[in-house]
Amino acid sequence: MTLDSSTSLEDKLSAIGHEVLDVDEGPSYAQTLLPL
Amino acid sequence: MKYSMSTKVRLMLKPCFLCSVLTSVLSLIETYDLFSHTFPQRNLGMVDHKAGHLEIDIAGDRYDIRQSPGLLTSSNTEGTTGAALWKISPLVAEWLIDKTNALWSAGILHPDAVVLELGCGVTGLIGLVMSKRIARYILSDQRSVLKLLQENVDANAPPDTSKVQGRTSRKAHPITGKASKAHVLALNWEVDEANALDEVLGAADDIDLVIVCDCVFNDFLLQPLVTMCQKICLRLPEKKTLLLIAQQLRSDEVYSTFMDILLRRFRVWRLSDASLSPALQNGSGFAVHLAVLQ
Repeated sequence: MTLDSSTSLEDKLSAIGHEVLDVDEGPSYAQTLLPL
Repeated sequence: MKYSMSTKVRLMLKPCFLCSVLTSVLSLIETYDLFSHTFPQRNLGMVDHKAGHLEIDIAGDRYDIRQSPGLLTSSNTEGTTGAALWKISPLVAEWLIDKTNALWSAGILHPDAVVLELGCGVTGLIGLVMSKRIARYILSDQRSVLKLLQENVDANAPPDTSKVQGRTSRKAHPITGKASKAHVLALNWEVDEANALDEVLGAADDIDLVIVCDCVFNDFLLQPLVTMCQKICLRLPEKKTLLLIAQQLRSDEVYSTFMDILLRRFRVWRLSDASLSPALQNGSGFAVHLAVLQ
């Protein structure tokens, strides 16, 4: 993903980390415990 | 529009009791994942609690830091933990000023950035280092640490290169610290409001990044800390202020409680290993999160 001035702050954060509430891409343990 | 699963869950559940339960469960999961490693160090994490003076080298610059072993062992009611330098601070400072790091490449940090640190302690090391690279760095903490903090800012101010009578002066201002872009501010999370920032910022001046480094350790301060972060982020509603939380992982109970409180007000991202220096990566005993107000 190319990060530039048009990229939203949230998208930038998702590019450099993973959202704690995002069980799709979060810790593997979260995916095991919460197969939502 | 494609929603992630968590976004769908949030949209379905918010605001309701189930959303609150989900937040608590995910706080526990995040904490479990962070604490599931065997950390290299398990001590409190002070650099040297007996030393009154420390010399710290970061990115080729030496910082002469005074800390206060006396305050550390005192019964000061405002707290004593800010009296010493903690191991995470030099690591965060070194990572933050590396312009190849994710915050610079994402444009979150830039030469015109304004950064506020909460609970910076007497040493203010991150601010001393960062203030050389950005427009302004505001160091805030309780009043009891400000005197020594200001002395550290003054002692480590870069040489004043402004021209005096046509000649370039290389002389620093050890008393006024005029050459420094670091500013010291009293800010008590339990009693102050965000307008306390007006002392060092114009009413319309925004803050790009709020740094909270090693401030998550006291159950009683978790809610005031998050509330203060929220107030600061709401100060200019049209501007999204980013929160950076860097923490040595000590108590899973305290961290889980903090994450639970934080997630009720903020969207939170844990930085990936690729975005961090090796010293701060997963399993190091430290964690770095970024957050924006919901």
